[in-house]
Amino acid sequence: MVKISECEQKTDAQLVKLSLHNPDYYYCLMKRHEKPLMNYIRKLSGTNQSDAEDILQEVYILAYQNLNDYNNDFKFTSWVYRIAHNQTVNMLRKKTRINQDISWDEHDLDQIVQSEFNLEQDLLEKNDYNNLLQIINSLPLKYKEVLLLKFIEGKDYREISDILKKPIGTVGTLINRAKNKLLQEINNIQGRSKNE
Amino acid sequence: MNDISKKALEKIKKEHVQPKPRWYFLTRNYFFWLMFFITTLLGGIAFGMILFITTNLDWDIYNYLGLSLSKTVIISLPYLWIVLLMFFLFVTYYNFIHTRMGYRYRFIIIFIISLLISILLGFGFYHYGWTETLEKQLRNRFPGYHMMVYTSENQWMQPEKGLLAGKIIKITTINNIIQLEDYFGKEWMIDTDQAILRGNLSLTENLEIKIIGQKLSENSFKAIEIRIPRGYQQGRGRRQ
Repeated sequence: MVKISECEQKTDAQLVKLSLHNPDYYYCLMKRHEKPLMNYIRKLSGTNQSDAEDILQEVYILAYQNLNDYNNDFKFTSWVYRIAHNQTVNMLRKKTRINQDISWDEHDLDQIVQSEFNLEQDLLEKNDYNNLLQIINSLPLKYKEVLLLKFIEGKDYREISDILKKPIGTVGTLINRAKNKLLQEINNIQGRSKNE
Repeated sequence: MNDISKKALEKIKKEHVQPKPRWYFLTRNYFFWLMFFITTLLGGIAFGMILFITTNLDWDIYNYLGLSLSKTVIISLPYLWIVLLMFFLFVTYYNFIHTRMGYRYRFIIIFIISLLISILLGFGFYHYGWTETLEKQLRNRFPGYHMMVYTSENQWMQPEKGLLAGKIIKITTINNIIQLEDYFGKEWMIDTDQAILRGNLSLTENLEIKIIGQKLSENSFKAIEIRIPRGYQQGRGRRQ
C-alpha cells in the first residue's frame, strides 16, 4: 500500500490520475477527505456513525467507478461532495428518513450564530441552542443543505453550485430564503416568549 | 472511527471494481449535446411553421368572418406549433442542463437563448421555403392536419361567409366567367365581371387565387375582390 507521506505533496488532481493506474493512490485521496466527508454525511442525514460509515464507503466506491468523470473544471472536493450528497439523499429516501432530525453540535450552531446572521447578541445565548436546532430541523431539506454547506462546511457559492448542481443564482436565492425563514422563526419564538 | 478508506480500498480490490472508461462519460456528454442541437433544430422548424402559417393568413378579412380582430387572432393562432415549440424548448433545456456544465446556467437564460436560436433558424427555414414544403407534405400525408391548424386554406374555404379560394382551371371570355377548383376539389363558376384585381395580377389558368364575394348557388360565386396568396409569384407558381 502507498504510504500517506508519499501523497502529501501531491494535489487531488494528481492523485486522481495516479489512482486510475494504481488504486493504492486512491487510498491517499480517500484518507485526505475522510473526516470532512464523514462529518458532512452525518450532519446532512442525522444518521448514526455506523450508517454514515456505510454511506461513506459506498460514496468512495461510487467515486472510484466514476473517477474518469472528474476533470479540472471542478475542485475535487466539490466533485466528491456531490457524490456524497446524492448518495446520502438517496439512502435517506430509501429509508424514508428524509425528515430525520439533524445532529448538529453546539460548535456547528455557533458557526451559524456567528455568521452574517448576527444573532449572537439579540437572541441566542447558549441555552437557546435547543430552540435553534428545533427551528433548523423544521426547515425543508433544500434549506438545511445550503445552510450546512455555507455556514458549517464553509463552501463558497461556486462550490455549493457544483455540489448541488444548481446555478449560483439559485444557490444565493436558497441561502437568502433559508436565512429569512430562520430569522422569521426565531422572531416568532421571541414574540411568543415575550407574550408569556 | 473505523478506517473507512482502508475498508473501501479492500472492497475495491476484492471485488475488482474498475473505473468506468473515459469514453463512457464523453459519449454521455456528447449525447446530451447532440440531443440539444436536434431539439433546437426542431424548435426552429416549429417557429418557422408558426411564421409561415401566421404570415399566410389574411388578417384584414376578419369583418367578412363576422368576428372582431381579437377573436380572429385567438381562432387563427397555430396552437399545435406553439405547443410543439414550447415542448422542444423544454426538452432543449433538459438536454442542456444534463451536459457537463449545463447546470451552472439559469433556466431563463437557457430558455431565452434556445428561443432566440429557434427564431433565427425558423426565419431561415421560412426564407428558403422549407416550411411551405413541410406544410404541404403534412397536409397531403396527414388528413387530420388541416383540422389541427388553422391555415390560410381554412380561412378562405368559407363560401357562406363570402370567402373562397382555389386554382383557376378554365377562363372563358363570355361574361368574364372563370372556372375554379377549390382546395377541397369542388368546382365553381366565378363571375368576375365586377371584381377588383388586387395587386399586379392577371388571371391565368393554374393560378391560385383568393376571392372575396358572395355565394350565389351551390356552385356559383360572384367575385368582388380577387387576390393571390401571399408570396405567390405569378407565372412561377411558387412562394418567394
